[in-house]
Amino acid sequence: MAAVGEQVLEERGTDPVGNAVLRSQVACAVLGLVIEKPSHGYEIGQRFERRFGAFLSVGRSSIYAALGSLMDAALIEKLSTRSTTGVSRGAKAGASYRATAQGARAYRGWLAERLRNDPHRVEMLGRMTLAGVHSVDAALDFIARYERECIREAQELEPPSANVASDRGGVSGVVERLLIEERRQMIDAQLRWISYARSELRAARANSPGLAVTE
Amino acid sequence: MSLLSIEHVTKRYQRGRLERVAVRDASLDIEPGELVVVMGARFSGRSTLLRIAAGVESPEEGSVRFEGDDLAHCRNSVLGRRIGYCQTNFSSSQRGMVIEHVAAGLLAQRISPKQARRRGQELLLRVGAENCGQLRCHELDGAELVRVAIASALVTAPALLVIDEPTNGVDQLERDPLLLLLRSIANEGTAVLMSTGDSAALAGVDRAFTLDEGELHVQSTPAEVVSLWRAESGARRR
Repeated sequence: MAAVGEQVLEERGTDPVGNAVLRSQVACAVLGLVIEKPSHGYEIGQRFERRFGAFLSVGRSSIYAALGSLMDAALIEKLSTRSTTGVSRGAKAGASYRATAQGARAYRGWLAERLRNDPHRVEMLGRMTLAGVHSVDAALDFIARYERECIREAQELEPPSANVASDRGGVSGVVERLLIEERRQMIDAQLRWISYARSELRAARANSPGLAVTE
Repeated sequence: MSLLSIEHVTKRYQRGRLERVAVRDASLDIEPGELVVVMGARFSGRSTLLRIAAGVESPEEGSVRFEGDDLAHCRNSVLGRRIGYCQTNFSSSQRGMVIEHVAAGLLAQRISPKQARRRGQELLLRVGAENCGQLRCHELDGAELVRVAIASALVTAPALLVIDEPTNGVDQLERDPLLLLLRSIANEGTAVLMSTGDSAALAGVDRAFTLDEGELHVQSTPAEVVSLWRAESGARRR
């Protein structure tokens, strides 16, 4: 029997179309909203703005485009819009969307991959490479900036008051707290790495004073 | 004038022929009602810096001013009164009941035992340890020890509470309520300076520093975060 992680990869691996659609953050966010609650396109746009507006600034046309892509990949489907009288309300109310089972699996797989990812470290290392770090001092400066980012993120995480007094009960409340804790523990690991990197760089400077010369 | 002002403080320890610099040219200010965190790994100098801030230790270089006065000269009159230094490992072996321990700070100020015990019980209620008064220190668990230590430090209504690693040795599920307690103490006007090795203690604090090999590295404030974010957003839009 495949392990859980392998199963997720297998699920995603068998659906190249779905994988391609989920490369779009907007599509992923829209899929999450549809999974949370089947809705009409307009309502999805409103919920998108409330939930993700601070991170993803996109127009309504992008939301509808994402809905179209998700439909094409069979990750969502249109709900029947026929009323009990048999008269269609579709033209007036607009199509209502719900997630398919395939869409729900793909979304969980995407989430698991994102949670394993550490974008800050990747970004930091990428910046260091791009800038070309030619001295210990420059590297220490990068380390200090990286540390600053970590500290900022830790400060911006939901403070304990909100955790303790949260109205969000049940599984969603627990999951939310676990996700915050996951970020905290990742930040702790990043800060330990920063401390280690600083020690290494200082040792390098002490052993080879010439390395400290700036570029 | 800041409540506490640490200026270019250096502290060294001599071990035989070896000298270790615990704190190196550190400077920071604390304003009334602020919650300030110094984060660092073990042996980073965080505990030394806090002892210096509280007046428990003196720096070899630099100065510490509390409410404008040099702490080197006013230590005896402010430590345990205007500055509450909270020792979380205070006394699990100490004899006597918790309430006696909490009230001890007031007894030293010639408050009657009855009044001191009443005030102590109020403080235990305030910190969420109201059921601990009649226990002995060795009967307390990790979180209760910290709460009782905070009550002991608060009993003289200090302007500054200094607490070293409040979440160390505390059960994971007890951590956030403790941090919430410290936040609420700051919100009520008592500045709090704490050290930690756990980034959870950074959430929602007013300012955060990191300390590495005795050097302070980061000073980050939420306001700074917001202004930087706005500046970056503006740059992206342009």
